Amino acid sequence: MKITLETLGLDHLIARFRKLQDPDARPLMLRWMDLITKSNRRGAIEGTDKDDIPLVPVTYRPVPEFIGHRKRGKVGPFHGAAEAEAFGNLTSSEYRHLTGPPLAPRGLDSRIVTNLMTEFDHPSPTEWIAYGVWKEVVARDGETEFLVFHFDGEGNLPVRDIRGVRPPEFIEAKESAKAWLIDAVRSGGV
Amino acid sequence: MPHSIKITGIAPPDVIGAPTPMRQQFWQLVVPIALRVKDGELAQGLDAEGDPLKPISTKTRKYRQSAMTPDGKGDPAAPPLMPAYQKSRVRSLLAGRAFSTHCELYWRFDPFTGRSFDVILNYQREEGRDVFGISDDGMRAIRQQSLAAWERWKRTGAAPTTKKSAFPSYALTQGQQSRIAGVIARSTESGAGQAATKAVGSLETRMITRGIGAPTIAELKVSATRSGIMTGEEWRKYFVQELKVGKPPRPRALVPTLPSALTTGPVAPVRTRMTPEARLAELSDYAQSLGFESHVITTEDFTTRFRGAAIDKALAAYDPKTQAIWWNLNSPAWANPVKHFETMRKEKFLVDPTPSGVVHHEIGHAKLHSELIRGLGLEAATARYWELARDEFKTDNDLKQRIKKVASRLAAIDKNEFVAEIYSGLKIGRKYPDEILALYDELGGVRP
Repeated sequence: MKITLETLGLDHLIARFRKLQDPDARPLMLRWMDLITKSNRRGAIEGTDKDDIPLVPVTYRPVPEFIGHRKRGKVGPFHGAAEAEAFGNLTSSEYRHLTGPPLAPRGLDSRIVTNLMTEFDHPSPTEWIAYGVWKEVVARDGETEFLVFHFDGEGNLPVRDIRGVRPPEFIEAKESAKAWLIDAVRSGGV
Repeated sequence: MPHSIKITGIAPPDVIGAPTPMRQQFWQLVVPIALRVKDGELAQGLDAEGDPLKPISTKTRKYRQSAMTPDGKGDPAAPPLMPAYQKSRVRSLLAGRAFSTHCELYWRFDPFTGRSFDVILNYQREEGRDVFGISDDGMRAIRQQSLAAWERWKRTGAAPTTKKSAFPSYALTQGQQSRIAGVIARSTESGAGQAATKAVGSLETRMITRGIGAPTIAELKVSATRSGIMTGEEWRKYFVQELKVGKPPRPRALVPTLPSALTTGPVAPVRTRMTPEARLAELSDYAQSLGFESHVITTEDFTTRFRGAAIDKALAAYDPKTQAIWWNLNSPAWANPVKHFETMRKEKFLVDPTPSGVVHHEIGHAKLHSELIRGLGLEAATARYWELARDEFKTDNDLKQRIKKVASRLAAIDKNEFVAEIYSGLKIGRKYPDEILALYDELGGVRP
């Protein structure tokens, strides 16, 4: 998703900014990475996709608990990968008892929240990029990165694409970019 | 709603009618002076009028937080708005720039809120903590030092500087600083972006999500300048990490852009080649900017003044008789201060082995004296002052060893030096055990 700033009325500012020789935008990157994390976290709790539209609900859970399960102690509240087996995965019957939104059955302890990493890139003097990566969200075999099946709607799965920064955070990212640009011009002596 | 502090009306007549480059030059000289004065006022917890900032609530004190420390905690005892002292954004993001008619102090982009930090300070202003101004005393100091700097500059006959970029307060502040403050201070230097990407986390490109600013995911994957991935929290910790001691995070390249002879106070790093006269003039001005009488004299005058004290080689001394700091121009240390302070550092002789550390040390003496005067009156205070100087911890050798360990060798010489050294350490944010601070308070030490 490319940032495009509304520059109407800012021509003079932009002209001055262009005179700066490859300024360091890491302060802005820190802000953007924070917004990526914030957007992902909010979307996970609210169960919305990259455009802030509610995700297709899951149908297989939650199922009501019944006495037999509770007695045998097989189900209960799960809090994070530490209590799970094999690469943070649970069994199907365990998943069925979780009440979190789609893709985030364990709420904030779900791997789409805990395993989101961020990074920035500066491929050329005029480009700065911040992005997120879900690291090591794999199936029980330890290899299959299954999130992409949800993102693309593989097979019978509905599309649940959360790859993106949601609109409110994207607006904040644009505002931050504008504030950083003004600061760079103000401080760069151009 | 203010966004900056405008300083005007202090230009001498020969500046007012001068061509633009000359007027710009005058205000370039004012910028670091004004920054140091404002930073000094903030460090003391003073507001725009020079009054103490409205205290924080008991609850805020109890749960004091700071975005600028790796653990997110602030010091409950720190002044309002500055939970991490010099690392706090109200001080570390302060910068100044010159125009041809005035200069302006302002706060830079804050990566934690995505806006200029003045936005947050305006919220605080509504709460009664206004920092958009400089006190009358501060303005007097700025005027006095600026005129002196202008006179010195005229004597050098140098051409007006063409550099117009902002000067960061970060370059002047003593003590540990966070990585992000240094990044911001240097961010608009030419080519600063080039060195910005280096691997600080693991490199992993599978499962990339669309980000901000990225044209396509494919382009992300081919780029070779990625920084390395970490969680949001890890990134925050990385950027607010303190830089290592002994490797000051000052934007050194920025400092020499102002001719060193023009700046007042210890702006220029130790490595800058300055004459002892220029250096001591700066240090003396710096002491004056902090509100203390200060003079530079030659060794002959110095030994006469401090007759019998056998300190003809001393860098400086506080004289309780005149209540002023005197700088010894002919001390051999000033001929090669880099070597001198490096030796002091290795021998752990001073808490803060820097020229400004010496200023703070002498101010520590001066503050002790004035605190004693406040309690005992001039005569008894001066007697007590010298009594402390003769008390060499002889009755408590264990304490003396502990002081050597946690402070410096000079601090363990006598109680008077102890107070001055601890003051100098506190000034740069050093932490001391309760036992040491209790003794410091008991002897009459003043907290910076």
